[in-house]
Amino acid sequence: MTPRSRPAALGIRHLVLAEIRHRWVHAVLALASVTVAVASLVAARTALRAHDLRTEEIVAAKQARAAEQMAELEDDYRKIMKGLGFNVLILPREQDLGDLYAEQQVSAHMPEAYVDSLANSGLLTVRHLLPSLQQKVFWAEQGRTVLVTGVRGEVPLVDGVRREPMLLPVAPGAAVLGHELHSALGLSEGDAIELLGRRFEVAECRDERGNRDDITIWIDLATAQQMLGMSGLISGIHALKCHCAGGQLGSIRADIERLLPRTRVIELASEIVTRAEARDRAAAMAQTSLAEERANRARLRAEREAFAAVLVPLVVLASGLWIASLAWLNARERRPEIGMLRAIGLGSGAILRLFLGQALALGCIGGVAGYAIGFAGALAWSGAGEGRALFSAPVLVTAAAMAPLLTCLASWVPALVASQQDPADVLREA
Amino acid sequence: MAGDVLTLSNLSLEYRGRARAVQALDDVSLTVGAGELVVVRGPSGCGKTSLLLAAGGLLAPDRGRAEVAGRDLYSLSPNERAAQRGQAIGFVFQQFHLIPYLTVLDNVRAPSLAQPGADSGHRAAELLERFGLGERAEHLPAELSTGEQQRVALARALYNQPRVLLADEPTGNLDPANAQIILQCLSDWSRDTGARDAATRDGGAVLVVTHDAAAEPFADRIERMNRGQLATQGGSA
Repeated sequence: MTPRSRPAALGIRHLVLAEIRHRWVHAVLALASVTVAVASLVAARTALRAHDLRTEEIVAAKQARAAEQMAELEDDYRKIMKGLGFNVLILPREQDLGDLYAEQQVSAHMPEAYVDSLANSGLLTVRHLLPSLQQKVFWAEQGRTVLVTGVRGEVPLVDGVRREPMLLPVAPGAAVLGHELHSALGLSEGDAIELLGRRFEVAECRDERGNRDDITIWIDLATAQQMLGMSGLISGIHALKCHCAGGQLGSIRADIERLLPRTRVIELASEIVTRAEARDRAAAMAQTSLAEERANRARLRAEREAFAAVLVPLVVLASGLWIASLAWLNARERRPEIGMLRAIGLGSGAILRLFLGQALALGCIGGVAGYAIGFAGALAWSGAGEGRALFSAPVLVTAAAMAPLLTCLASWVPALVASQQDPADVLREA
Repeated sequence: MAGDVLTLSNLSLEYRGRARAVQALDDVSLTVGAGELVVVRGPSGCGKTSLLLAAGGLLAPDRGRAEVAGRDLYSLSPNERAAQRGQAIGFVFQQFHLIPYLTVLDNVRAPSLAQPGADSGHRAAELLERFGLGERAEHLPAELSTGEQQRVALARALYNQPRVLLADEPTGNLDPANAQIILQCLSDWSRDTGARDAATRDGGAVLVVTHDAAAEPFADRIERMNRGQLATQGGSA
């Protein structure tokens, strides 16, 4: 014979491992069972975690998109407000509004210095001031009636805050033509025109706006004052607030009229207010949409959690019953072995350790395998590319503790019965 | 008597079933001394196995005492009794009861599981050599013949150098040739008493319960058992 020169000491662990190898089908079935139980738990927890992370991503993306859209909206409104006109129009008190609205006829004027007074007043609710001198004139050179508007651009406010100008000044000698004028007369940028005996170069041809701007010629304010014989005078001041909520208009009007007592303030802002409100509603809707998304995701999570709360215990229970059945079968098959081990001096505690040791070994292996499979499954299912974010130490610890606990609890009664069986009964039966 | 290793005194045991009670042991007394091989013969169901199990501390009698190496087995706690079995008693059964997933060598040294620190691979290898199984050390029991399996079971029973060897139908599953080998091994072992020093002592009392007449030529004393009672008939020695 060739005996092993120094065989490893025989112990319960040796028996456990040898038995697992010998009855490997039993072991594989038990291992599969505990693996499935742990995998279902890990997959459920990891999938919920993936859901939470995905929710955070979706909400963050939606928030960013909403912010982006609101910024775009803000810019759109700013441009729309510029195109539409101004919030309020400050006119001389004597201006006949009937003439103005019906005939576009300006019947009264006020000093240009008013706009400087307003700019230097520190009135915070007014953001942009645009003085103008407007007059309906007959354009003799072209044989048609036009509105001549002299502008000097935006008057800077005393608060020192730099703002993007709502309207650029028109350079002396330059003219900006409304759509109807340049299209009807076949004019384009760079062409020279003659207006009331003066030459101008067409600096800009405006797009169609569908209002009186289409028959307006904008020129430099000082030139207009000279041409119209109204030096130092203007016909009105457009004052624009950036964000004009309806409730504030009354106080703005009162502030301006108190500062410039010989003026009247006309609100031109109803469309702007509507659009501002629309913007507010859009913002509110964005928030509502975000809240709904959150609620939907929360509802989906709750459904999944509820499903997992039923499924996982069922799987664990089924797994436990299956392991217990296998343990019963194992204990029955090993009755003669147990009887013999008791006969040669092993106590019931050693038999208990033999069975529970096997359950512990399978539980430990099943815990690791179950965690790996459950985690990989949840990772694949959730479509999350990065597994590190889904890793959860508590889930790992739970899996590591649950698997041996499950196998040991399921095997406990069969192991106890096996350890307590009377060896005499077994040996007599045999 | 002095030198008796196994002393059974007035053992009685009754199995109480639903229908009727069976008297398995009826006031049985028996002694087996060191170096003595006693055969108890009797028909099936006469109480032989009960006698052997009671003698080995595995089946508590209703009355009487069972002493091995001077210790009354049934006055000990279960754990102490298990320890006494591990130290002083060896068992051989008809069905061998080898552990199917352990190699032959590990089966032989299985008793060391009950006595941590007492594991000796050399002792197991030596026993396998003695029983002609040296080349089978790394085989599994299922790869052996029945005769070989019984020799492995015998080697396992002797591993802890017991004081008493209890054999229940040791030849029941064997052909005549293998039966002769096993019985000769039992006889040889019983006669090893005092042949070695205390540290390596082998040999001791052997109690064989069987219905096989082939055991009688190897017996120092033969007891006939019938309905739970013993009657001495003599022996070959």
